Amino acid sequence: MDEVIADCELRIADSSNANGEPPKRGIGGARKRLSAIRNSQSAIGYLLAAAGLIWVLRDFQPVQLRELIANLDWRRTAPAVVCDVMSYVCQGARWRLLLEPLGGLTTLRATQAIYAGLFTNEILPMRVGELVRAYLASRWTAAKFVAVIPSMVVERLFDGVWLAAAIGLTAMFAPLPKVLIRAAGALGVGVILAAGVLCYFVLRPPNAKRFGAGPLRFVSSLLEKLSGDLRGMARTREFYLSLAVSLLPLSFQAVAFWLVTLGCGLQLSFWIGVAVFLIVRLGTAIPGAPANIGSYQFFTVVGLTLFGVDKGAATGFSLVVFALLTLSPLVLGLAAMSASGTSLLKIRREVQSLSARRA
Amino acid sequence: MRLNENSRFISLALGVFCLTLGAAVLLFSLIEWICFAMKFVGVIIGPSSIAIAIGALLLLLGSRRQI
Repeated sequence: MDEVIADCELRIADSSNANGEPPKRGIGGARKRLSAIRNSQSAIGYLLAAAGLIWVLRDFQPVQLRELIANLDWRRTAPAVVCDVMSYVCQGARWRLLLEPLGGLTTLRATQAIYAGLFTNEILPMRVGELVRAYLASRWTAAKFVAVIPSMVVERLFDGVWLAAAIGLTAMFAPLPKVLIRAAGALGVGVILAAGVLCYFVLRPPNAKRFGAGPLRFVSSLLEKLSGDLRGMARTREFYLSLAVSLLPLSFQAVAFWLVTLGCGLQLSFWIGVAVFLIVRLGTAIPGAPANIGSYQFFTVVGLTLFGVDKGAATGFSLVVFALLTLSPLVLGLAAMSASGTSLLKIRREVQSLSARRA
Repeated sequence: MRLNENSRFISLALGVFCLTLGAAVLLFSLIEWICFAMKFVGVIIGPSSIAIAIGALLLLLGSRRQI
């Protein structure tokens, strides 16, 4: 997988050198440093996941889980899985809208790339699936890798906007813990800053002064490229439509989570269910172990116990909801990866040959 | 009133946000009202209607062509 990341960096470097500039020295050293940082981040992620799982599973009896599965209400959990799938289809539709200026990518293809990325996220740490989906989209649209990045940046910004709005809204209906409200405040400030930066890039005249020169030439040319792509993207009708559509993935995921709580016999109100979902969503925002295992269970149990649910019941629920909502990305993701005509191994080989040609 | 390109961008983005937020609040309150018999629906309808109205107004303003 490191090679995929390396290829992405290579493509970025390629696009910055498009004007005939010689390749920058010290890229190999930078790659080694990046790899070391990534490894240490993965190790921290695994450690936190193990700590979370140990805390969650302490005092938990497997009999409780067996009873919970036996009494599972499938009339509620089956629609939950459908809602989960719908959330990714909506994400695909949104990405297709944002990629409209590059053209050529249908909603089905975008959803397929998203599922392929999800599959990678389920089996590899640190959400490298994001790079895989960008890689597939750049291949299918015949666009450069960097041309796809602005759409993903905008996606994350829209997610942040709606997440902050959802927390503010949920605070009106459910008694949220002070920690979450403080986290929402921090998220709100971050979102406002990010929106400000986006507005600066979008509203900046095309002939404005360059970002910088000298040692920062690579970063400068990358920012110029991103700024140009963002400007092109933000002036389309699809951009505004994708802002509205961005609420759908979050809503479908919240409804899916709430339906599983009902299916597991936890009679939580819709807004309490949404509050717990938002706690999980915020808690798992930082990349960690594959499929966020450990942190997902930890924040689910923390969220439910904050609303008076017994820790044993909360632990059982955290395992069931994780299995149910991870299964579809795993199965459909594997199918999407297979249907893409490539595999992680093939991507790795392709990148190796690219690197060899470049050398 | 007609807006320049930059004001149009901000107006349209804020309009879409307000309109979607208002509609979503109405929809989710409806779910809560149907499933759990929420008592303060009236309190929700007011602000969400205002959000929808502001959103529609901003969209209308932003959709006007440049001078």
